[in-house]
Amino acid sequence: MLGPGLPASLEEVVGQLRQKLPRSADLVVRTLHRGQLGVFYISSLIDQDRLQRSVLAPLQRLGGRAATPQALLDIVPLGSVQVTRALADLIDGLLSGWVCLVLDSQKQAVLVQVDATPQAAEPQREYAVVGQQAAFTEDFNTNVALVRKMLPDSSLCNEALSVGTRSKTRLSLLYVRDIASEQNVNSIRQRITDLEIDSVTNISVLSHLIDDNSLSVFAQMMLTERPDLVTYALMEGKIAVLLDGSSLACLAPCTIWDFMKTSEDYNMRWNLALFVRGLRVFAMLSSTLITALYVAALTYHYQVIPINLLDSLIESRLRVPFPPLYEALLLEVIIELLREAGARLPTKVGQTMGIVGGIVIGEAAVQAGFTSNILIMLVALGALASFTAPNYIFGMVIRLLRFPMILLAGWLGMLGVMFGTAFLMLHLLRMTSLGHPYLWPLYPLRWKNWREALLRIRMPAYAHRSSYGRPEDTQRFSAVHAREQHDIDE
Amino acid sequence: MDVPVRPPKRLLLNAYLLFFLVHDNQVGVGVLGFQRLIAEFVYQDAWIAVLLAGLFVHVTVWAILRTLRLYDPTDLYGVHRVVWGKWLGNLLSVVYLLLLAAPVLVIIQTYTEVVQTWLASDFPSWFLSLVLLSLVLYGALGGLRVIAGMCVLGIFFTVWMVLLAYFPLQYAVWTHLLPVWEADLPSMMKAVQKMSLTLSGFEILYFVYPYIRDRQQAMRWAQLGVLLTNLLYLTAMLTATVYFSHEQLMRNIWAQLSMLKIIQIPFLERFEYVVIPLWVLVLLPNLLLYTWASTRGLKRIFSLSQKKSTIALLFVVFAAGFFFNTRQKINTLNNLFNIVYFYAVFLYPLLLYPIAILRKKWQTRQEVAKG
Repeated sequence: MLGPGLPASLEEVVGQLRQKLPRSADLVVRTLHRGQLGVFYISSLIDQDRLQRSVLAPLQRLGGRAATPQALLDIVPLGSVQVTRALADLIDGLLSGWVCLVLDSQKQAVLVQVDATPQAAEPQREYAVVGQQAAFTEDFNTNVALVRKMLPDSSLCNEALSVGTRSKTRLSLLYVRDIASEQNVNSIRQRITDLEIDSVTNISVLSHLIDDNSLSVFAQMMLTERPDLVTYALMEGKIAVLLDGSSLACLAPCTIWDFMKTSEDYNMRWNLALFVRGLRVFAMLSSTLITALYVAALTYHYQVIPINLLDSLIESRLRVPFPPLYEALLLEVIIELLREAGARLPTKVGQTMGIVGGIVIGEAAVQAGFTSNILIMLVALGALASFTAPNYIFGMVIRLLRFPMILLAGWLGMLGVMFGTAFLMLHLLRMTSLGHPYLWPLYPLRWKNWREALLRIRMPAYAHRSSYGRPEDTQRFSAVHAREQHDIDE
Repeated sequence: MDVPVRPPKRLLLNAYLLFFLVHDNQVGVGVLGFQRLIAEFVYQDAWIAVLLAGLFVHVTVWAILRTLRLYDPTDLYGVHRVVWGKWLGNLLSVVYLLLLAAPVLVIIQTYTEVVQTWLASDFPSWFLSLVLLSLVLYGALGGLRVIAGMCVLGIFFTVWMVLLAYFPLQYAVWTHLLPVWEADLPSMMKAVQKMSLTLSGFEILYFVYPYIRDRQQAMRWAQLGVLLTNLLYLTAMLTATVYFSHEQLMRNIWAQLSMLKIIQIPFLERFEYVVIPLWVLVLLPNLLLYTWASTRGLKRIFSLSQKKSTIALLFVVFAAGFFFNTRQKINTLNNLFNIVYFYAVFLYPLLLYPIAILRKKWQTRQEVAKG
């Protein structure tokens, strides 16, 4: 038998359970038979129907006559049962969806498996080729269960709160007790309980209500539909918020780099993942600037373009009657219209519309002499690049940023683009997420944390947990073992 | 005003940031055109002058940090108060904070000149300074942490430009450097003094020092920052000397930019059009740091709200910009500050350090005497 055994009295068992699984709102503790029998389970992991029919109903009929574990086993019509004397077994059982029956003064527990398989949805917004094909649903319990199934750890806390004076929407605060910093948990709990609002219907509304800077276009809390991303985040010391009726989880604190990560970055081999992540960051950067640079160069600084390239540029613009600024704005608006129309239509119609928009309008615009080929290529490239953003909202931000940049470029040339960039830098430097710097680890500079926050390198390098959010347990696995090296033929 | 400065813990910076702060505050518009001013006096030995001036900076930085360590944790305003007493000390502090505000004007005007010469001759000066000052206001309201962040990002985005020296070096005539050490001492001294506005910026140590968390590391990082600046300037000076003949160099006010003109890669040429706008990222930390240090003084001496005084200062700089509208005036301004800064930034710390030591000894003796 491993670890401490079960105490004799039922009250003590309950006390120790509450101590080992603190702040677990879904831990149910019931006593039956005038305090002789304790029934414990984690409600989000349990198939309520089976629990009712196969465990609770027979126990009720028994009415206190069973004084031994054997008698309990006899009346439960289920296959997976187990008798244990260890508290650790009992907790592991609870966390994997078993019901625990504990008799007073017996020092034994009967575990019965009545777990439910959470019905996950298909990921729609954050698809991954390599990786889990599960997404959160609109059912609250299923969402909690999805996280609990991936992380059956007794330190995983699940605090129940509610928000909205009229809607009284249920809300769950998930975090790993000995990793997430207490300060972050307190501050997010404080922000939620301080809210005075009649109703909150969606988690994105909630995240706007509790973020640091509501004026910024950048989201400071990440919304994701993937339970695996939530699990990674919890292991990094982040806090997840689940709201009843929302199929997204909200993660905080977040850096800007978190919005550029996909779950595939973790699932692919490190060199592939590093390449793809680099490509993605480059795509997002160039998507913001590429059209603006074109406008600036063609309007004010044609000298920077080598003569051969300038030739083909001039040739393609020969019939275009507008200055580059208007030409670029026109095309950018068309692309945005296409995207918006595509988002509002069902998939099948959307495809047709993509063809109409992309090929017909694009081709016709060049034929009619409205725009140049080269600009169509650049704008399309920029749009394509912005769609590589793993997070839909972040992709929107990238696309929105292009417009002020293009306007600045048309107005002040390269200098305007630099003014925009400088403003963006200052803005990002001033931003915080739950009080933590948004550009970390680029600034404040933490070289050691680049490997998990910016880069993706081989697993042994990840022995230390990322220090963002100041986690309490700083080690993921033994770094000594990871550093072991052998000579040839040894 | 209290002599010790104890900022709240969450506002403290790590010592390694001094590397970025000092280096970034030293490099500014000066580097675009300092080569001509130095070579004017010492011809091919200009690089020796850069080296000597650089060594001088290392010594001054040492003196600055030793002075601050005497009354740790404090800034120059605190040191002035202790060393010179209430009235004289505050007077000197006010003079110093005015000297700190001046570079904001000098930098903006010089940059405007660069932009108007190289990019767009019809770019209105007032508009450029309005945009830059708005950016400074937005950044300065974020406090020293944001300013330090801008220094780090600024360096990341501009440090690659060192590699551009590769292109002019392809046309280098190394014999331009010979014969070595032909200059006489007086002209060498004059050349060293001409470096002062270009090299200045390390005096920011006087003001950010109390905001450093691990102050015993400050010396190492500040000296490394100065070292990087010196290496950079040395590269720039050597490149210009071997690329241009002396007569050519005398005719190029912005030698650094003239060298960029020859760079060609398949999809981009005339790099000065890229580099001048990018220089905003080099200037912005300078403007932010000087604004911060100057208004910090107003807060320390007169207990003015730093938010309000920042707005006021930037407004004054904006208004003053209208008076410096010609090349002559800007040149006079630059020359004047070259001299003033030589005394205020290079020599004054060397004078202040022994006086501060004497004052400290005298103070301790008095305290001992009192019991």
